[in-house]
Amino acid sequence: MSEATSEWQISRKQLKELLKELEKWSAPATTLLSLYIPPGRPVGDVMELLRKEMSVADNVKLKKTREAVKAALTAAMDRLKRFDKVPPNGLVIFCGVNPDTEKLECYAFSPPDKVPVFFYRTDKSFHTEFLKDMVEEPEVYGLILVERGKMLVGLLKGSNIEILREATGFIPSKHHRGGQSQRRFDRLIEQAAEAFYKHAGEVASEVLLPYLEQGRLKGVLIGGPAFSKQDFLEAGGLDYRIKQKVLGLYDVADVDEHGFYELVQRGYNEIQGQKYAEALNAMEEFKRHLAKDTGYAVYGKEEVMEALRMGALKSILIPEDHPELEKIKEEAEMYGTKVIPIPEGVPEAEWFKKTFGIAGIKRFK
Amino acid sequence: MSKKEKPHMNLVVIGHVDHGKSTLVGHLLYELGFVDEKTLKMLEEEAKKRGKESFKYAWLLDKLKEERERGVTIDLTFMKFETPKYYFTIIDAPGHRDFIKNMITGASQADAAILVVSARPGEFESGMSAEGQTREHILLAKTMGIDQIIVAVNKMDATEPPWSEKRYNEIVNTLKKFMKSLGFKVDQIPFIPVSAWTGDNIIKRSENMPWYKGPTLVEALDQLQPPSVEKWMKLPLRIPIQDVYTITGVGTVPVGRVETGVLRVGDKVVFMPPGVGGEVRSIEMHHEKIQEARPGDNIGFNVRGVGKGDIKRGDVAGHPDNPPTVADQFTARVFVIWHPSAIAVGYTPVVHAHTASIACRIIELKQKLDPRTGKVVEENPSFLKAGDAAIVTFKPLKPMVIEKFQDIPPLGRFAMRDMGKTVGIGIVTDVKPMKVEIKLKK
Ligand SMILES: Nc1nc2c(ncn2[C@@H]2O[C@H](COP(=O)(O)OP(=O)(O)OP(=O)(O)O)[C@@H](O)[C@H]2O)c(=O)[nH]1
Ligand SMILES: [Mg+2]
Repeated sequence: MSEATSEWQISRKQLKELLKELEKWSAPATTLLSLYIPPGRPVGDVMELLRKEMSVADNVKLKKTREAVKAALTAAMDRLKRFDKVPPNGLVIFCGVNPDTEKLECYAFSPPDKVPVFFYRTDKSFHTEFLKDMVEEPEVYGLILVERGKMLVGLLKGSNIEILREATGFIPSKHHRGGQSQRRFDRLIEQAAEAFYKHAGEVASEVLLPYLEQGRLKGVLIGGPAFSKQDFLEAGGLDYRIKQKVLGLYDVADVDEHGFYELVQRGYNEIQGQKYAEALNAMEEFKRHLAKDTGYAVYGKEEVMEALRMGALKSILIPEDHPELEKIKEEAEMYGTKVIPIPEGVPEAEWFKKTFGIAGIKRFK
Repeated sequence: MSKKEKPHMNLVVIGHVDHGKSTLVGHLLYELGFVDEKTLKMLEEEAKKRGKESFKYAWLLDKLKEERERGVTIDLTFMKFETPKYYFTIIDAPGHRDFIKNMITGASQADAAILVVSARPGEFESGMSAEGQTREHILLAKTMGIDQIIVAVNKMDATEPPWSEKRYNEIVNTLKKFMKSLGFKVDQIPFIPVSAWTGDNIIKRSENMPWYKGPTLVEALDQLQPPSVEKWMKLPLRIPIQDVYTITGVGTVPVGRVETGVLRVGDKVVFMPPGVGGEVRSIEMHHEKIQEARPGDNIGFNVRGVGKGDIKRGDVAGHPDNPPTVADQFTARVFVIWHPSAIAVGYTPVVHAHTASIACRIIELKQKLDPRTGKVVEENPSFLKAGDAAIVTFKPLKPMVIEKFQDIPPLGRFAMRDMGKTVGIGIVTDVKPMKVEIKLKK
């Protein structure tokens, strides 16, 4: 059966496209079936479970829902039957009625990485969360923002920024009270500030260490107002291994999602080549040419392709999900033009897509 | 005369980093007798011990270890003093670029400002450079509704030569030109040459600068116009929260300035966006219990059932029958002051309004306007750049209170910042409210 097994294997790229499609599906009732089988699990056990679920489904009150669930279950069992053993990376099955075509469809495949969980559910949407990690680029940058009393830690992953954890601490204000106890009070404020910075370092380590241990953490950027960064580093809460990965400290006034964008922009020189940072940077450059009306910006597919074929383009900006991305990439390569995919997570991505479709930045006028 | 009979004024002290704001405030309070000799002596010794003697006056305000070690103000300091005419709350603001959100909070609570500019060679120039905070603070003060400004041309003892009239004139001319372009009535603004270090022209007329005929700093303070309380009293109650204290024996005490309306002990109030509230148990101003607080009053108040974790800076208190508006979206007339590239749909600057700072995404560029006439020059422009005026719709990324400027002016104006700079300013023309459930504690 080894041939048949490899047939079910899909690549990262295929998985990425499939996930995009599956995430669009939704059902009015809990009729979309998601099944994850990790490697090594006997097929018979899983069959047994599905059979049980089939009889549970008999109790569903609404006829339409009941039939939809049973149809999905039958289809899933039918797929599972074709295996006498779960493939080396495990098996994933999604079954349900496609809301566009109203036909029952089923996807069974073995993903590029090992299935991490055993999971079964019927829901209003598919559970794709366990596959997300597999399509993302493995390398990440840690992002830390810190000020007196507040800390955020997140990741710069392939094409987006993710906030993972927040820590807050109560540090009393300086003009809290005066009088005789002022000095004692000042000391308490100071201790609270130091304790917070230390705690913040511990939280950041806890979040980032797993990535470091997996060998995925390429570097860490730290931002915050003025000297908060130094105080944070000196407080000693940050694990020394994470500390060794610090690429730079940057002045950032706000500890919030906006601060993360600033941090990535300010730290651009240390993380060149990172997809998201490159897209942010290219977008800024494109907007700058637009605003200053320099004549270096071209947009619209025809204009861009014409300029490309004249060898006039330094780079092309194109939405990440553009159907012709690969084709244009191949052609651009011949002219030494860099293609920069713009992921949805770039703030102006939607505007760019709607207003320009694709755009180019010229080497000369 | 009892202090309650004098009108109350909130003064914010602004200007570029290190230009001498804290020193000026410290020295002023000392000369007026609101700081005793013993405290100053103690600070002097401590400052000397750490080789920071020149900061002895500033340390009256800069109490945090971080502030003292670095010689930089981080957060606002509130102090009280009186002059013959007024009862003042003075707010010492930080000049450092990274703490501008604190400065904006201070400015949003003030009726008037003292702008401190250093006359020392090079220092005035860096404050007025493209990156300089002299420039930025003047603009932000204006944006937050401050029309009355006193300019203190500081460090006159450190000009070349000292007490130079020529340097003073040079600075005044440059500032007047800039302030006029922002709409300040520059002929009514006093430009006072002072030394915060020696005390010249703070209370005592300077013998070193006989060429100066204008008022001293304290005289100029008494020439300020009182805020028009009556006008704001008629509007619905709004108190933007500046900080939340816990005070033994009292409990949680939110503090802030009453912008509009009247607050009385026994009133039911609600804090938005969180939607929590209860009955007002006590109101305190200048460490005294009062029964009623009016626009301009800087108060602390205690509300039954509202705890420390329920509210924070940027929330706004109001009466439950006319609660502060939480915006799902808001539309504003904005003016783009600075941007390195272009502002497009999706752009997400930090919006600073009253005491709140929240990242807001631009979801629509409705119209581009002629910045001089306000006439529409383009519908749905594809982007904006520096110098453009436009009607823009924002969506706050987190719940935020903001009001139509026409209804409640102090809560209807804002500044937008990004990458450590002020990108633009705005006036709210419309708000699409978000439904927030109000939960009053019994
Ligand atoms: N020679 C001289 N030095 C002054 C004068 N005023 C202030 N300084 C010095 O300037 C330095 C900065 O003073 P601060 O009062 O901390 O300045 P600041 O504007 O409050 O600074 P930030 O709050 O951090 O923006 C200190 O060393 C002061 O002694 C003055 O009139 N003459
Ligand atoms: Mg200061």
